Amino acid sequence: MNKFKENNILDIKNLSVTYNSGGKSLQAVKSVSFSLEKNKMLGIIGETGSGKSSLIRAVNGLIKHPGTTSFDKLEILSKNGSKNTFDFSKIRGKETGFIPQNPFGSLNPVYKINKQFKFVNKKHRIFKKDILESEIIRSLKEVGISDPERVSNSYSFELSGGMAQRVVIALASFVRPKLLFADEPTTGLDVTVERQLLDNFFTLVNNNDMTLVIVTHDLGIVAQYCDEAIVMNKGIIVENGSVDKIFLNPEHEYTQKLIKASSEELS
Amino acid sequence: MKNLVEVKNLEVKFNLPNKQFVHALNGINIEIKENETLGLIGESGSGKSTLGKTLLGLIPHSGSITVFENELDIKNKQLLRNVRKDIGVVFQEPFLSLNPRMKIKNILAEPLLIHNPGISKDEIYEKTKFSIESVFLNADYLEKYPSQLSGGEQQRVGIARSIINEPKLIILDEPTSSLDLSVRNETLKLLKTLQDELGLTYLFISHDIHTIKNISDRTAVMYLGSIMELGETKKVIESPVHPYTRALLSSVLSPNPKIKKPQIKLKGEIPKITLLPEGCLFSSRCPNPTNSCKNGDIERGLIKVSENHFGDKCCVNCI
Repeated sequence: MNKFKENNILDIKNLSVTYNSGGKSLQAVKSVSFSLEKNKMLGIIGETGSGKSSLIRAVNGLIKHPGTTSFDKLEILSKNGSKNTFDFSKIRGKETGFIPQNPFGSLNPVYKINKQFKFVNKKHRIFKKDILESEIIRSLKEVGISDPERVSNSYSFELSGGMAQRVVIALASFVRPKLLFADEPTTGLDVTVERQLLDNFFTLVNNNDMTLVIVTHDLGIVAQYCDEAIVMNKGIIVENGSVDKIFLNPEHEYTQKLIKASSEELS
Repeated sequence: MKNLVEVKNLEVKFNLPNKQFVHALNGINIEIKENETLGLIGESGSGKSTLGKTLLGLIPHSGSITVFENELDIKNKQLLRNVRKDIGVVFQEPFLSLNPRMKIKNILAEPLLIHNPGISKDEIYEKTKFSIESVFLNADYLEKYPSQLSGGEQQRVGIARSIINEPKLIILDEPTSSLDLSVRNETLKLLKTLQDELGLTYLFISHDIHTIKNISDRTAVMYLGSIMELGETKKVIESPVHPYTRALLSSVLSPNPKIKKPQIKLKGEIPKITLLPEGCLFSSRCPNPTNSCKNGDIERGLIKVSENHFGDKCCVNCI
């Protein structure tokens, strides 16, 4: 993966995440290294507790005390961090977007949806005031919302789960970040809704020249939509490579077990 | 084969404060045969869990439910008590359904004490030991608390609790949906082993087609509180006759990157359950509805399409 180095949008060396509590410490991510080329879609697969969510939270600088993040190298969109520090404030939300797992936990219930879009614009100042409303509608339309005017005038609790998740995706991609992170974006949705949302989401990413890192426990999503895959278990990367290689010729025992479990017929 | 449960024209409505009703179940006709696994599949809000709860006599209903040849009447507490002794339940969230302040042995003993007043301590120990060993956990686990167990182990305890009174029927309400992939398959294998050993009958509620395919003998597909398709699992999954089943099956993503199948898209979203569509329940999302589907002069219910395979009377004509 390191062949086209100048094309890398994400480069990570020996990143670790440790949570400390009550005198004990737990290393959730253990010296993980990987890189990602521009315009690729990377799926990170793992079971509960494998450290997949901790990994992408750390890459976004979202690990809070008492958790600590350390790394030898962290390069995002050719911005470099010095040893163990990285200034996320310059890129987060503007050049990188983050889609969290639970939409109702991340939308503010006291503001209408369009107000929350305006907050994003106020912080990053991308769109002028006169086009702002139409940009919000456009952004909502792009994620497959058929009545964007109603949704934009609603509060989050008035929306269905699928609708709220679409709004969160629209918010994260509103200012056209180059790199998008998604943490289990479709967990808890029904299959028919999930499939439609994924189709919309990946079309959006493709059409806007974005690079995507998606964390999921659903092997089907990675197999059907991604280019590259990372399999994590107990805080380490057990295998990475192209989706075809991982899913059709898995080398590591754990990957083989995981793929077998998702497709095997019980007798 | 004997029918353990027979459900006829079952309807369940919940009152809302604004004089509206949630039409949770709308005319369910189904039977559960002895020793089979009946799978219930559908999206959230389709009434799968409500059906399971109604069979336990937890929800007032109209229509008739016959469980073990007793007609269920939720006012008859003694009857309910007798019936519930023979029905075990396994819940969706293993951790939330186990009392965190009780040891496993006390959790397992609770249903014994309720249904067998005056049971001796030795007998309780013997039965709890037998049931924990049936789920392949050793007797040391009896002294532990739920928080000391992993998710898969907690769900095994949930299963051990459901079989402790030697029930005939077990209602499994999404027992594997919160478990990881590898643990999920182990749990399903365990359920199959128990079914063979103890001669159990399962009502298996799930939204995961892969799980249903692996465990059910027959499968019912639910939509808006009504059964859209019912039949042998193989027939329902390999040659579905209802447009909703087809859409549901086509939405499942294959873990093989070489298999690409397009999704059969349905129009719109699931209608509000307080305001059911007139005529055919599926008419608002049907790919080619006829006028009679929408006008309402159609008969609801299932019609036989082949041996052991039934589809909604209206919808099988639409495709």
